Amino acid sequence: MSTPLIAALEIGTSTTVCLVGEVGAADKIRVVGKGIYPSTGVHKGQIIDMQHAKSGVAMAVKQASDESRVDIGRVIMAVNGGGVEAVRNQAAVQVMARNRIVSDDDVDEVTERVKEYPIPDDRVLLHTISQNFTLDGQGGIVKPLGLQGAQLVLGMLLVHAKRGPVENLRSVAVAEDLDVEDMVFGGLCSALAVLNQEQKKSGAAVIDLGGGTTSYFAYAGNVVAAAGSIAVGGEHVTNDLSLAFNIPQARAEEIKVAHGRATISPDTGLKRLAIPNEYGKGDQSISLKAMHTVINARMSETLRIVRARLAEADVLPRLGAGIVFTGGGAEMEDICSLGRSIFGVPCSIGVPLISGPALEGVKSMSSLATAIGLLKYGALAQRETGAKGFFGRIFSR
Amino acid sequence: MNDDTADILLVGIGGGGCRFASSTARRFGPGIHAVGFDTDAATSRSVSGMRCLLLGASRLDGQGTGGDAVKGHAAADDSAEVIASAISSARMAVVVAAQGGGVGTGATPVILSALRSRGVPTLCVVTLPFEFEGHGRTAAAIRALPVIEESTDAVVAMRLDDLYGDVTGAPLSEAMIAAEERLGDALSLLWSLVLNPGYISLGPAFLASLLSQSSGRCRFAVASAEGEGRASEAVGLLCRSPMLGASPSLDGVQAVLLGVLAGGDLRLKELSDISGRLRGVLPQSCSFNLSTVLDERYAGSVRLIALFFDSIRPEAQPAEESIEEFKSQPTHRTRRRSRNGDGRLAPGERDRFQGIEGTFIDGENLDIPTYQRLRIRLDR
Repeated sequence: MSTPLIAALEIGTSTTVCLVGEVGAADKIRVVGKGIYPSTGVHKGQIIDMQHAKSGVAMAVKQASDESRVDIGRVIMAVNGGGVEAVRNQAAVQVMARNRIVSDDDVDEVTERVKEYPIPDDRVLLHTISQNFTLDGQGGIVKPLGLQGAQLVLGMLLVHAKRGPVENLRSVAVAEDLDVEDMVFGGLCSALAVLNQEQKKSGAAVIDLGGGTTSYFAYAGNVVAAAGSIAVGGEHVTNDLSLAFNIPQARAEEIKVAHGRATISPDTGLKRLAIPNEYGKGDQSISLKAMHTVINARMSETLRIVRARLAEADVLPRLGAGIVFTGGGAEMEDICSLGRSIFGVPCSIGVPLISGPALEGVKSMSSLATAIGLLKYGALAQRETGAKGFFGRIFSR
Repeated sequence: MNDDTADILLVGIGGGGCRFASSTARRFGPGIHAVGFDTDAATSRSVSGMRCLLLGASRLDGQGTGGDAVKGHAAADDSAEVIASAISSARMAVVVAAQGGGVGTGATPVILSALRSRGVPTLCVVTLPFEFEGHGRTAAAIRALPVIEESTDAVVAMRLDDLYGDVTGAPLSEAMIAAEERLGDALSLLWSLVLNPGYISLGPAFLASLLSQSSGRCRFAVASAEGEGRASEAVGLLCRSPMLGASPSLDGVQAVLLGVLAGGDLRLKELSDISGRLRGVLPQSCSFNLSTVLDERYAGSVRLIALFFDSIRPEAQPAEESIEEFKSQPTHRTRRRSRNGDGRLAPGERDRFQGIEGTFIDGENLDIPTYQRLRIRLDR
């Protein structure tokens, strides 16, 4: 019997990533092919130039295909842009049986009803994530089948995004002759990649600091309680530095990666950073403290917006396992320290626990969290196809 | 017409830019103050209605650059005094240049910088090569755009293919003339708007103020219609104008300057119709600025000219000023429009988010650097 293979494609603002994974026993994934190519034509997670985006996809898919020796024809894609939002909906049904024992039909009916939420025409539903059932006022029920009660209530988180940007992502893949099996919120993928069951039970939020977007996905009370993305990411930090110090974007990106820091350290003092000659201008230097001030202002603001969203969803006080950062921005020095000061909970860097020959030598595993999560999503979907197991309920479309 | 014309300078750079400027000057007639710069002495013989000055005479001896932008840049550098003398009276400038060649590509940033160093607000209109001219010229033009954007307040970039519109079937020589006249016609309307104010006037000071607040690309379109329903027809044509480029969406426009040029037969209802229809396709937050020119030359028709600013700094909207106020400004202002008091670049300059839907949260544009919005002073 051949080993099932899954291909994941993430068209990010900074890079386009394609991974090929082999699904082994107990859904253990081994990454056998990897393609990483700089993205162009993508800003804030949205396609702004189809031709440029297509070339990134073509190169990343070819690299992954060559390395894995697999002809990639179908992919699962990540969605980060398009203003992903989540809304909580709730529906109630009367238990039909005379003996008031909850049946499959009751669960199906309440599940269908709760999905009947009016999503605007210009938005598309990505996921319907079941939360807890409540039976006659008793909440926190995970499996109501066989329990007795008169009224069954289900809460559900509906994750949706702007239709145009989602369709544009799909179009880029289709234009490269790829069948798109599914489109999955990137924040969900990152959470799948880096959180363990214990963290989910205790309450944890994953914040993916991407190139063009910042996505969050939070578990509280053992359910998915908040999800969304904002169109601010690492490219904003780069842009701020470029404008602050009158240097080209490419140079700003370089110094951000090499010398960036999320907090302003008193040790920096009067240290200056030499900036090489640009376009005939004389050599210049910039204050390291000023540079860190620019980065700190942007990252603090971004995290405070996420904090407000989590507080609004009543998640913040229930994050026993704290915040886990992923994405390229997670590599910014002192990000956890900044996170702790803003969220008031423990913060850590999420590293996907996954292996495979294609990942040898990869320096930044955090930046692959979304693509690795896509593989995990695909593995779970393969297992649950046609079934109504945990995954089918939790992440069904 | 007022006597302020010398303060608003039309500058043509390179062979193409000079021809566009010449076409504008001829169409507007007496009163426009236009000057051209080229390295090729032959250009001065082929244009009319304006002065044409030689760049890099000692280096190139009145010859062209052979499409070499480095030579064009060096020629302009050599001719700093010629340029300074020609722009000395300018309070505002519209600079026209064709990109992809030698002088238009190489000299334009130098001349824009000279204007900027005098505190002169500039609108730079550049044309991008025809597709048939090949990838090399287009690539050179595209590479030059960010440098031009850094040197001017607002830049309008138009593909020649778009400017040609429906004349692509014409012989090349006729088509070239048609394109020059089309751009010349559009720019002469801009001059009419600024210098021949009607009952509703925004005047040159307003345009200068709007330019000062612009932070990058803007777009420019004209349209005209006659007869019954001319107002609505003109708005429709304006919004579909090929001059707006391949993606004519007006969704991201932050400010618009609309000029309505008509004869004495313009009715108030038509003005209201034009305003209402255009506002209908613009974002609600867009700053809408209307100006009229009533001139019997336009009798029977309605002509519209619009400057769509895709990025405006979030400061107070420009206040209406009179021409007198404009004239009273000192000639050599030390103001540098896009730098704040501490010398930092203003938002939008070389900004990677230009032309992309803004990220707004709680009414705040998060594409503008946080340190600027929070007014954090950087000890650079």
